[in-house]
Amino acid sequence: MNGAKLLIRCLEAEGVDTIFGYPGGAIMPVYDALLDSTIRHILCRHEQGCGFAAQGVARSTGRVGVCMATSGPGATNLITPLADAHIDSVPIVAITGQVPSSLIGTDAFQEADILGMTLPVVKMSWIVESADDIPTIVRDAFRIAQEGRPGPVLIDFPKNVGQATTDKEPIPPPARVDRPPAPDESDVARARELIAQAKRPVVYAGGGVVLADAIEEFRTFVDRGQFPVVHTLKGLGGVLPDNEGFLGMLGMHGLKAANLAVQESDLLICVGARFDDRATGKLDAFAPNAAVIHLDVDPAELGKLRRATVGVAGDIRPALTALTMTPDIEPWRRHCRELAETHAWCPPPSEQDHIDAPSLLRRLSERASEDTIFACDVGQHQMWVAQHVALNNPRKHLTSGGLGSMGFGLSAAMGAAFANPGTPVVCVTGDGSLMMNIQELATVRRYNIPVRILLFDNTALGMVRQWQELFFDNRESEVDLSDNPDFAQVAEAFGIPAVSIDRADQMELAIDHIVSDTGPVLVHVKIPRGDNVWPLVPPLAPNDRMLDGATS
Amino acid sequence: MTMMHTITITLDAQSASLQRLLGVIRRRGFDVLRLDISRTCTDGEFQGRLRLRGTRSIESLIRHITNIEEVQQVALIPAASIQAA
Repeated sequence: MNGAKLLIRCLEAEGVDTIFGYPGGAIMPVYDALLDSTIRHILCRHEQGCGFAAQGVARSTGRVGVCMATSGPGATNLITPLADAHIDSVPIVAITGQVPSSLIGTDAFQEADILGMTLPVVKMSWIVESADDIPTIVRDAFRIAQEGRPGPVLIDFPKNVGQATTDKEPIPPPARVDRPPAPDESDVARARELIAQAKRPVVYAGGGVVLADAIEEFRTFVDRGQFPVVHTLKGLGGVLPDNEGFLGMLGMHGLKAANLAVQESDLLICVGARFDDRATGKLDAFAPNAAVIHLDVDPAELGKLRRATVGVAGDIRPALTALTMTPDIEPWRRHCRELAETHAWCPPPSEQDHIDAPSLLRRLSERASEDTIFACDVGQHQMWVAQHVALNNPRKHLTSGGLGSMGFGLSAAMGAAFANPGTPVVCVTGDGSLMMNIQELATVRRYNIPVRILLFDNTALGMVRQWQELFFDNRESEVDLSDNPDFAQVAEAFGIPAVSIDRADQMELAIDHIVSDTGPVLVHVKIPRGDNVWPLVPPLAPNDRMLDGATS
Repeated sequence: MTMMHTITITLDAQSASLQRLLGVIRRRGFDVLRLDISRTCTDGEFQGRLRLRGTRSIESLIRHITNIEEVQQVALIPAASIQAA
């Protein structure tokens, strides 16, 4: 067999059933081998779409997503999804074609040093030098992508390796991925002491909870302790939205109650979060009076930005179980509930005619089935989803948290729909973001992917416009999108049904399409250009200095 | 405050392991002042030491270096040992 067939057989052995890819010269041997494979290939219309679709698989299931591209521009188009996966710890295997080994370094046609270009944004990468190495490299690639803190890996595959003959066989993967090492018992004991002594503890939990497959242990820990809980963007859904202690997302666009509770806390129990600047605001004013217990699978996160009073490195699942206890904090719990009630969201006046995006999202959240997956793009709509949609599991909320990649949403939704057949998938996007990968509407149409696209169109790059309004004296610079195409017509040109609305009394009709249509649909929602996301912590300000519509 | 540090390291000699190491050091805020690394006679590893300069926590950098897949061992040489040598 040749190297390309062996590569495909190795992917089959890893349980890969879907690859999102785009063919080209250097990867042609692999595409030839794909014809004889059980693996389904999804032809996206841009390699960036392939990478984000693979992320949609990985983020919604925890399995490794696989994407493939040819050499040169095909490979470089994967860099953004790889960087996105790296910062958000998403397990991806990217396979790139490469010019024949003898031509590497000669500036050959479609030659790019993709291994060199992606070094900072992958956990590991290989140039395959011999077809005999393929089984070991593929096995290592899937192992490394999944183990410990997950992340993307890259296999660069020269054309001649795909054409070379080999008698090697795939290496079967183990039945299960090894769990990370258990935490040190003395660290856990010290953490228990801190929890027992705390009067105002807050749990600050991020995406690491679901990456550790520790949702059940986390919810038990929170329920038994009856802790106030705040989530990062990627942690949303860690606790159920109706949990009495849940205060919402913290940070720049977090809810007031969440930020105020953190600032008043005397103990921050950080679970699988990384003190990201969007969460902390001004770092040295973040939770200024709190001791910190930091649980993370990655020891490099401990003390990276905020010194941990007790760092607990390793598997957070047993750590959470060992830390489950019921401290006596009733006055603090009551205070946090009062904060939540005092700062609860207020709906806009009922007589207003235009559409209020948060109101629409809240109504959609009420009407959508519990298993609905929300895939967001990046911008104001992304924050509105985080604030107003009741998310019940982080794997139901696909969002580009760390890199903030506009163009993520539609492709990620496609991947999630393939990986979760029968589960409703809603892509919430904006007019700026959708245009970044709008070509994927062709992929949606080709495979009849039942993605419901909810497009908030404010004819501007809304988040940038909002910042220019607030922090640059309202001097708008290159944010105007008033010459947007008619998005409903665009969708229909791709063969996707579409509806446009611009009045509040049409909201239920729009939501009907999203929750009831069985195929793909685009719901184009025109919203006022000047609507802002509130609250907002100004850049480099402490999190208790939030602006809202009344104070800005 | 800017500090000098010396670390010893052993890493697999794979496609780009040295570049990956140097990239992590740069991105995490350190300059390389001296690099003394060679391939072992069995050809499978790089071994050596690096003199680094930076204002951030060297312990944090070492944890990041430890996360590099090809790194087998990394250790900080205490300043006293360097002076004695």
